[in-house]
Amino acid sequence: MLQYIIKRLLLAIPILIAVVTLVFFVVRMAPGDPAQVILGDSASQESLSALRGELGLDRPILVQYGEFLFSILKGDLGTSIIRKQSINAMVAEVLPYTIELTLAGVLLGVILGLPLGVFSAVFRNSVADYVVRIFSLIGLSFPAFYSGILLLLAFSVHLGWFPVISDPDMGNLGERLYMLVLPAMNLGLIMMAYVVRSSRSSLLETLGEDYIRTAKAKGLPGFIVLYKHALKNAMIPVITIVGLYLGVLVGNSVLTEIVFNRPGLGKLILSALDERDYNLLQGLMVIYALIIVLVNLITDLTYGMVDPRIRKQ
Amino acid sequence: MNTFSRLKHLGMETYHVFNRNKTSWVGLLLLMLLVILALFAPIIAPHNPVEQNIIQRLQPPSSQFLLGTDYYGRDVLSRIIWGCRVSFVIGSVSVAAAMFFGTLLGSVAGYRGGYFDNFVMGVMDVLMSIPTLLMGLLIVAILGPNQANLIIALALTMVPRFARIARAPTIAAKNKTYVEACQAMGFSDIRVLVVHIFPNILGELMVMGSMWMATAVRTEAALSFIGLGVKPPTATLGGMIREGFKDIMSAPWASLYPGLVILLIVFAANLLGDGLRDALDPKLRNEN
Amino acid sequence: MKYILEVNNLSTAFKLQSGWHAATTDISFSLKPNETLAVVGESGCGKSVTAFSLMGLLPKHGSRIQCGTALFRGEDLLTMPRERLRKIRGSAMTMIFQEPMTSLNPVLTVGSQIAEAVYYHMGVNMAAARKRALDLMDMVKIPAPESRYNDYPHHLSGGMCQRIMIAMSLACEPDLVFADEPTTALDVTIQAQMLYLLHELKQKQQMSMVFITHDLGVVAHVADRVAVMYAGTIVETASVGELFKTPTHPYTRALLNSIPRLDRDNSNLTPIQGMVPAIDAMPPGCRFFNRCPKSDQCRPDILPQLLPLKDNPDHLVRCLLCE
Repeated sequence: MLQYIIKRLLLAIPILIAVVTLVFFVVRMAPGDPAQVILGDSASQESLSALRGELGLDRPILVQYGEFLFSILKGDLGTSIIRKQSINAMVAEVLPYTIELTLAGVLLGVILGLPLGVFSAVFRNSVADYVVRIFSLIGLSFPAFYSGILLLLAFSVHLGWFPVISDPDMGNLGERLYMLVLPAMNLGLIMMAYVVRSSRSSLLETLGEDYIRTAKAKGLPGFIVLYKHALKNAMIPVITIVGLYLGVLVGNSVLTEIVFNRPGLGKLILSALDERDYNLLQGLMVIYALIIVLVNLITDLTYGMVDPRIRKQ
Repeated sequence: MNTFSRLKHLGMETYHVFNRNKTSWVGLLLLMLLVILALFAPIIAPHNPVEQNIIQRLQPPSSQFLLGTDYYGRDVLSRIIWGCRVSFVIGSVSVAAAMFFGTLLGSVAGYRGGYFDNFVMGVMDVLMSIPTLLMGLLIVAILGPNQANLIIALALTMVPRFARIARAPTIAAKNKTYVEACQAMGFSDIRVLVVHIFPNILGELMVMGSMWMATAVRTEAALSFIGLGVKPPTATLGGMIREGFKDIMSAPWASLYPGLVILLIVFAANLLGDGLRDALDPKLRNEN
Repeated sequence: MKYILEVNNLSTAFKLQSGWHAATTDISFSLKPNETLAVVGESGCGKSVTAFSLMGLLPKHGSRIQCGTALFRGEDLLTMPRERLRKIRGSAMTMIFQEPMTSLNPVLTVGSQIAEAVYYHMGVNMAAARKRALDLMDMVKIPAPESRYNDYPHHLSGGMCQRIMIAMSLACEPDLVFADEPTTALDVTIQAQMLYLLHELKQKQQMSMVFITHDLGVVAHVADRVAVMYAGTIVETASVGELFKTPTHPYTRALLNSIPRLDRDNSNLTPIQGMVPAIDAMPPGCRFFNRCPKSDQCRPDILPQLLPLKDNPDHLVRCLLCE
């Protein structure tokens, strides 16, 4: 098992480096000069070049790249050009909000989606099944910002259950959770659509396998056949789907943060783009890449735990 | 067996596949309806989408402005119809480009094998590990927000997926004896690829194409909402929501209707892709 | 009791795109306690379908039992409440499947899969179930059962997996075991071992067996009685000695003529001409008519009944020419 973990880790590192490199060079290609953004349009050439020198922007690009890699290895994401703050600190400030939102959304999606998917598979082709399938297709067709707006309108504006302008800086845990509900629902409902579909198709496939017939031939009670024999096997592909959905999930969490005005990595990325803050942008992309690699790793590990055939490798 | 008869055969196969599943018909019809709407925008749209009419701003739906007006007094319905155009153009061109380049890349990589294959697939893996929206954000931010760049950005996120689809069957087919026979007879590599491999992956390409078109439209809308879409005053569905957001409580029609149309387009494309996938799945053949 | 299993006029149908079609028609046979009945026939003749129908393992959608009775220890399997059938299934009436590698759950240990049969039917606790499972593994000659208990199916060979399946089927001391081609998927060298094991176990356990196979050689080894199936019907039933000595139905005769034998000159093996009729194109009369060498003396429109021979009431044949 340890071998398996190490192998996955080793595979992840080159991808991480490649993504970081890609981001570094792509960001540098953007038009717009950070020095200009800071000093304004009326700044003189001398002050611009002076500032560029100060920011280290006039050194050869490969040198900048090398320094960048080196500081990443040290764990330092650099300093924001525009705001002059340590990027590590900026990220640390907002990361908890993004994490709690994403986790809540995923949990909601899985907890609501799995039973519905199982139900749909067991009562295949019933009216309820068709309804579930149509609604989950609609669910994953929703643009995340639109569903967020609809949720806001329905639950904050019309019903007044939640405040429209949220300030998640509340220290109180209860209030913080309260603020989390609508945004988490936004992420969760879309995630649920993916989970329902993948668990349904996976379970249907599993139920057709030979070993399910054996379990029935043993005269085991129906729910034992379903839960003990079928579900454990059916969950394996679902884990893959959750991993694949990660890309969409990241995008959706950025949009959710915008619509619900929550602090988080998403809003930070937007301001980085706006302000041409190279360092902040690349630092954030590194964080995102890290998160994705980490989640993929966890997905693979969960595989290993659930499926004994993988462990053998 | 000349090219024409082969194409005809392919077309008939496609039609039969389609017919097996009713969902794909519904999706296709809905999509066609929306495409026709967009195609005939100049004729169908009742008003000029960019004509401002400050006196009539933020008016609720009426007989003159069927879906109301926005902040600048522009007709929401007309803007939606023209906005559909933008979404469809960006959506379909990016998917088509990605399909073309992706399958080309994937099949050549699979065919060649070796370092070339490893390198190409490595690049594909890196591209795939960047979330779609973020990739779009980056590229549009760098290249500037216009239609062409949006197409490029979206196509880049989809190329790896199509490459993947093309690669595996190519590798499998490469090792089949009939390919060796073709090569022995002196057929060019390209001909082998096109004639033998392409028909096999056509089904999967159609499914992926539909589903990724849905994603492309959805992502374009998201980018427009963020402000990185085609610049105003061009009407884009996401952009309309962005502009209407601040007046959402007093004039919800300006944001809600465009959003509904985005949903419809994405849903129709997904329905089509879903139906196609079910139709192509040999195991599900007896379900209907 | 005289018979442990009495099947009468059992017919099963499947739903195809073109409608419902009978997969098996008028299946009738009887099984005494401790007797082994071999059901022989080519692929697709309906042998497995019969077993599944009796066990209640037909797929829920797209299949149904059209008619018939099946008395197991006096109770009709086809009309009893599902709960009752479920309790009998896996305890008094069990099944061994053809593909041992895919018939075991890959994410559960092999030992626990045996133990659960004991646990759910015999009402004992897990510890006792585990002990019984170990005893069973010993009985089917699995070496070092204690350590094998925690293995997963992919750790074991095909032969070992099949032994696990056999152990599972014997867990609750069944009266009747269906064996659906248990050796077909195994290496030839293992086949002999497996047949010997089954033979031994049958002696010890005192149970009846319905042994489904397409291999006549296996039939000679294991069976007391034989039922020959063709195109969804039983065409001949007899004791094993009688069948090999006096095959009566033209299909049985053709079958026996088409296999190589040590006591014959094998230079001219005669295969049977023609093909089995498709399930949705069954002729109204005798199904073997278009391939029968004696068809010129017979007629295609009447479906013969399964009737005993004049001089041997134990030997049943479905043929107009043999009545």
